[in-house]
Amino acid sequence: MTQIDTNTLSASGSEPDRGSMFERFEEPVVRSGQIGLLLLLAAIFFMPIFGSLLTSIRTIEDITTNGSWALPSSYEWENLQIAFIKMLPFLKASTIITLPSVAGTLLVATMAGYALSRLRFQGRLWMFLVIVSLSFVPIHTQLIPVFRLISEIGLHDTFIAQIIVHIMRHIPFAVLIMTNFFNTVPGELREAARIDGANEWTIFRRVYAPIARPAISALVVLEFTWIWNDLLWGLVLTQGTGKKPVTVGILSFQGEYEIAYNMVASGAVIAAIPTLAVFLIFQKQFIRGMTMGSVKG
Amino acid sequence: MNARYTPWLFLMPAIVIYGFFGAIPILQTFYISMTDQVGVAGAGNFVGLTNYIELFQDEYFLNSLKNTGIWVACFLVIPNTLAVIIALLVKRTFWGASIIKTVFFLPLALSFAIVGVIWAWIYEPDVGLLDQLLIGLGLDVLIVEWLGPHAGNFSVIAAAAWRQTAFATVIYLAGLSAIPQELIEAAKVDGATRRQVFFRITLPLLKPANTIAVSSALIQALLATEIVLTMTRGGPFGMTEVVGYRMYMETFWNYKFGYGAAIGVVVTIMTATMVVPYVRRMAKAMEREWS
Repeated sequence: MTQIDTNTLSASGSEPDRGSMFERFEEPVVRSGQIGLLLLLAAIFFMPIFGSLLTSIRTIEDITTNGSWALPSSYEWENLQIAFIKMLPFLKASTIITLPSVAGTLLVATMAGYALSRLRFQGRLWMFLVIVSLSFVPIHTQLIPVFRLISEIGLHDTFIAQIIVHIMRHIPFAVLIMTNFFNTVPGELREAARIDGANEWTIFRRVYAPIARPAISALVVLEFTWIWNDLLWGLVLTQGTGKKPVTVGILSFQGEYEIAYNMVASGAVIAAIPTLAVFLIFQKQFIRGMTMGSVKG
Repeated sequence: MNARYTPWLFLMPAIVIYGFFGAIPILQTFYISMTDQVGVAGAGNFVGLTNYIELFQDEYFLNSLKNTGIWVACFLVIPNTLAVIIALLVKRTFWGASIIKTVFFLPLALSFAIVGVIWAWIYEPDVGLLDQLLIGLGLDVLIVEWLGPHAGNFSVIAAAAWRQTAFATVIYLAGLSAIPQELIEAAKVDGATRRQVFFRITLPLLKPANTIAVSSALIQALLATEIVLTMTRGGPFGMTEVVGYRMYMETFWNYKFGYGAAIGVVVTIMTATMVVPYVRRMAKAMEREWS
């Protein structure tokens, strides 16, 4: 009995040994092949951004004579400067629209998410499912009546109209994320606070809202990027330059410069800088937000 | 505070804002789609299903529907496959992995408006970045009229797939790191080959990530409007139009609000059928959570 046991043990023990010897030989070859493939994919992936940066600081003559991929014969930082000056009103408008929209969405969604996750009431699951479903409603389902409503109440071509509509559009997703987050917080916390005589609002403000900081910061980064990057509402709800967001600005910029590729690229770079900067600085929060049950992009 | 109404007080701001500016408009869209309303003023006459009947005889719409179908098919395959490969390659960390990850995530920070502008320049004939790259590599034979009537729709899809791959990579990487390493080690100890580990353990455990990546790809493909707007404006000859773009054009260029609303309803119904599995999964998860 004992003998058989040791036999099988040593037999099965030799298997992974052989395997690992094989792997030890194979590993460096396969691994360097993998890294090579990865670097190639990364280079292809980075090409559009690198190409735009390159184009933005060259002259048209330089591009046509030396080719689109040549290093700049002279660095035309002026292109970016001109683009920045032209884009400034749009950048301002985008800032005025985006910041209150994000703050409003977060405030409303944190409250609603708390109630859905931590308070027991009739119709809770039903309410949650309605919100999940609403997060998939395409913009096309609301575009026409919202445009009509905003025009009727005299808010067309205002910041406030864009802010309200953005908050409306982002409530379902943000509530979904906050509900999921509050679900992970242990319930004893609430019980302890209740025993101390705190009412629901105090419990929410003093206990749960502070705990939710990681979820809130992830959502802030995501919502900032999404709202800043919106194009359709900006097109539909505005008329004058002063109220148009930067995504609309890049469209008119594109129309104005047409085949002056270097200027169009400069405009794209200037318009992309705010969200790129936010992404690079808060990448961790951004990724966490995406993976918290997101289905958007 | 009355305990019974407390939850509704917390929910009130969300319900009021969404109800007034979101939910009522959804219902109105269905009604408007059955009227002949033109422009914003007036209410139009009730015409029943006339808009829908007209829609399915409208060759521009049918063409956009075909293009949207191609979008959906491409989006189901390309970003998902690429992202799984990238995620698997990046997962086994090495020096510089975080920079490589950032490169793959970066397109997520860009708006579809900017993606469209950038890629229009890439596809520009002769001087564009792609043509010049192919000429440099001696692959001139591959050059076609990227945004022309034949390749146009696929070229726009490729640009959007670039961004969608970034999203799917994030999701699959998170899915991969959720797989317990002990499970894979245990399988290896039991003599499983690398291939077996991949097909029997890694791939099945990526199922939740796959659900998210696929739902997102479907929705993005069905709604693609903004990128078409900045890249081709549907041209040439409407060859790159998609349903979302048609809806925008019929409504805000031709002022056919009733007709545009009908397209909006069609888009909504298509989206709704695609997300049913996802909503079901959420419902089950929540029931477990709250029971």
